[in-house]
Amino acid sequence: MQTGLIERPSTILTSPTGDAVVPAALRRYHPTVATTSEINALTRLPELTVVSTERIDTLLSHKAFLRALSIRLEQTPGPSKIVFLFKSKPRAASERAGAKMLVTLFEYFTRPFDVEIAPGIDSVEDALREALAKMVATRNRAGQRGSQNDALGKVKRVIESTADLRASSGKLSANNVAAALGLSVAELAGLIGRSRQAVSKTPDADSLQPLLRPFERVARLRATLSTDAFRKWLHLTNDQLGDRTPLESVRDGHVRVVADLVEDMLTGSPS
Amino acid sequence: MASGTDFASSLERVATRQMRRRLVRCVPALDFLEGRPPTYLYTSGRPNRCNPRGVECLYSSETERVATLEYRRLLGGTGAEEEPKLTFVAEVDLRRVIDFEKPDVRGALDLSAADFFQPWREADLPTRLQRFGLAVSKQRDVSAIRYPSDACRRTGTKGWNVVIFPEAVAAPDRVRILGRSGAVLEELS
Repeated sequence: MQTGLIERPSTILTSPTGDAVVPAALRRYHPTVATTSEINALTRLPELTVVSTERIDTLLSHKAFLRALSIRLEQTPGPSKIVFLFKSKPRAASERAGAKMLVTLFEYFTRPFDVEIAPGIDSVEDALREALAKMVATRNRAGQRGSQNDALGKVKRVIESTADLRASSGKLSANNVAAALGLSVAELAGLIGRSRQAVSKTPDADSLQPLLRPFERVARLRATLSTDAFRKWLHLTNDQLGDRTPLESVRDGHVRVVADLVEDMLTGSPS
Repeated sequence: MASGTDFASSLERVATRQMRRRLVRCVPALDFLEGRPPTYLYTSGRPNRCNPRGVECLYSSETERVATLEYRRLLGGTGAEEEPKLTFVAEVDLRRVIDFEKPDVRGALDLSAADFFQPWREADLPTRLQRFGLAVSKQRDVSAIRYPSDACRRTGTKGWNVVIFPEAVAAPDRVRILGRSGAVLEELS
C-alpha cells in the first residue's frame, strides 16, 4: 500500500473570513495559509484543503467562496479532499436544521464524497485522518476501478494506440506521456502537481498513474488519427473547447475536459 | 445548485409522451462490434449536454442524418470524418419521454434555446440542462429526454437527439441495441 500521501499531503488552510489559524493537528502537514483571493487564483486544489470557520451558518453565508471551492475541486484531477472545520455549533439550531445546513453545504459540490466535516476543534485530527485514508484508498484502487469503468480501455485499437505511453513495467511513463502530447516533462510535472525531479526520478511511479490517466485518455485519439494528425489536432482551435486548442485547454488544467471530448469522438456520442 | 433539486418538483408535473422508434449513432470504425454488451456507447461517467459528470446515460440521434451531422461535428477537420464508420441502431419502446420540441414542456421547465445550446464542456458548474438531466436520473418514471441537436443547428437545420437513462428503463419499456445483421447486442428492460 502506498502510504507516502499520509505523511505529507500538499495542504492549504483557508477561511472565508480571512482569519485562519493553523490548528495544532494540522501543523505536521505544514499547510500554506491562503486568502480567498489566493484560492480564486488557483486552477485546482491541493490534496488537502482545510477550511476553518466559526460555524456552518457562517460558512453558508459566503456563497461565492463556496462556489469557488466547488469549481476548483471539480477541476482537480487527482484525489483531493476538503475538510470543513467548524469551531462551534450554530446558534440555536435544531437537529433537523443542522442536517439541512449540511445538505445545503454538500449541494455546492459535484463530488460531495470528497468533502469532510470536523464539527469542533477536537475532531480535526480524526477528520484529517479519515480524509487522508480515503485519499490513499482512492489512489490504491484507482487503477482497478478505472479499468472497470473504462469501456474504451478494453477496445483493442485503443489499447494499441497508447501502448507507447507505457514503460517496460507496463505502467504509464510520464516521459512517454509528455512526448506524445508535445509537452516537456517539467510542464507535465507542473500540470499534475508534482516536481520535475520527482517525476524524472521515477516516471512510472504508482503514485503518478491516476494523475497520468487523463493524459493517456487524450492520446487515445490516435486510435483513429495518425500521430501527425493527432499532433495537428492538438494545435487546432476547437469550437467545443470555446475556440481554444486542446493543448491550450490541457495547459489551463482542463485535461479531463479534453479527455472527455476525445472519448466522445471515439464513441460518436451526440451532444 | 449542482444537485438538480431545483428541477425535481417541476419534473413531477411536466407532460411526457411515448416513443417507439429506431435511434441511430455513428461511431468510428474501430473494433467496436466485438464488444458485447456495447458499454462504450454509454457515457461511462462523462458529462454531456443533458448530464453532469457521474450520471450514466445512453445518447443517440433520431435519424441517420442527425447522427451523421453529430459525427461530423465531433470529427470534422481531422480527416477521420471521411473514413468508414459504424452505425449502431437502438430500437426503443418507452412510455414516458420528455420531449423538448413541445413548447408547453419547455415552458413548464422554463428552459429556452439558450439553455439547449449553451456550451457545457468547459462550464465551471453544471448547466441548467445538465441539472435537469441529473434530476431525471434520480427518479424512475421518465426514462428519456428528446432534445434539439446542436450539430443540426450549426448547419442551419433541425434535428433531434435522445438521451436515455438506463436505470429508469423497466418493462414494459425496452431498449435493444442492435449489432451486425440485427443481432441484439444488449437489451434494457
